[in-house]
Amino acid sequence: MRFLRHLGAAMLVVAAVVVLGLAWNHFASGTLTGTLHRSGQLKLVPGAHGVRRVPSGGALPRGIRIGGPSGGGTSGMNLGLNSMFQSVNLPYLKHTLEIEAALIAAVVLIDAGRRKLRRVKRARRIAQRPGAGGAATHAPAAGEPAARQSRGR
Amino acid sequence: MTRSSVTSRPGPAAGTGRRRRVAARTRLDFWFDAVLLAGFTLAYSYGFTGIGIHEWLGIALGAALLVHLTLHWDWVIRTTRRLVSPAGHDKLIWAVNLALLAAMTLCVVSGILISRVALPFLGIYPLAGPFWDRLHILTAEVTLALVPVHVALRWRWILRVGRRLLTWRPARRRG
Repeated sequence: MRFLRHLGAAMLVVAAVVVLGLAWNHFASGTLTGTLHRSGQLKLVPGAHGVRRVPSGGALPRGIRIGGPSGGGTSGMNLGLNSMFQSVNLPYLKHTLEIEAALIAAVVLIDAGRRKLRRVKRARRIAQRPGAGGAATHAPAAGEPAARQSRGR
Repeated sequence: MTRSSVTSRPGPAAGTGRRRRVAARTRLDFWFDAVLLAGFTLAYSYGFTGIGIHEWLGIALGAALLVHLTLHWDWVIRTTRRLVSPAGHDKLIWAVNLALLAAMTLCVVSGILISRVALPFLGIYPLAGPFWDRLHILTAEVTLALVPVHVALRWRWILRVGRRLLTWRPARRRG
């Protein structure tokens, strides 16, 4: 019951985002036109009847290849498994993984550094407090348990 | 996002001390999120998967996103209420998560609207314009930037739970 209530709330939020997207399309679709035209990625050719797209249907990072021999349409479901097992297409996956790994590494490094700095500052502050239990030389040892406790989520 | 993760319970063999075990809900969160990440990575690698898998996986990711949001709805409410307090870390996570929700939702919706395999297979022929093409590409790139940040902001939880789940443990003994 609780799950269903939460699901309903989540669906409402998602629906609100969808409505925002539809409104964007309706009122200001021109703001997006032409912003993503980059050579070698997606060919968007402006014409009399709007922008012609070649091809449509996906996030196409580089070197577009429509998976599967038929490339979609009405002739039935084509999962394009052939392209998945071709080693020539592996660089696409590698590229995505590299981007993700780089971003994760960057955020982890920044977060770890920030936490370390905060810990040091807190230990120093505790050491400087009058009656903290000794001279500044003992400060890290005295401050460490308190810092650890407050760090816990 | 729910981080009441690792429980401490008595060990299976009496007298061998306490063994920490991972709560079922935490296990579900961990593996479900791992599958989501793998699914997104595959779905984004369009050139690798081909259009069929890309589209079906995208639709599945949309449903999984809804479940993920539902599972963490308590966190959403709790953190939204706490936004006025001066604590900074959760604010950043909240902002990243909100942006990711918007980007991923729009990515899935625009992907459905420009579908060339999945929806026609179901007998639905969506009318798409160039706006949805561009929106799909834009939101896919934003999502690719935000997903690793979303994951990495919880690296300590992932490390803690992952270490417990993935390390080898001896089989239980009874008696």
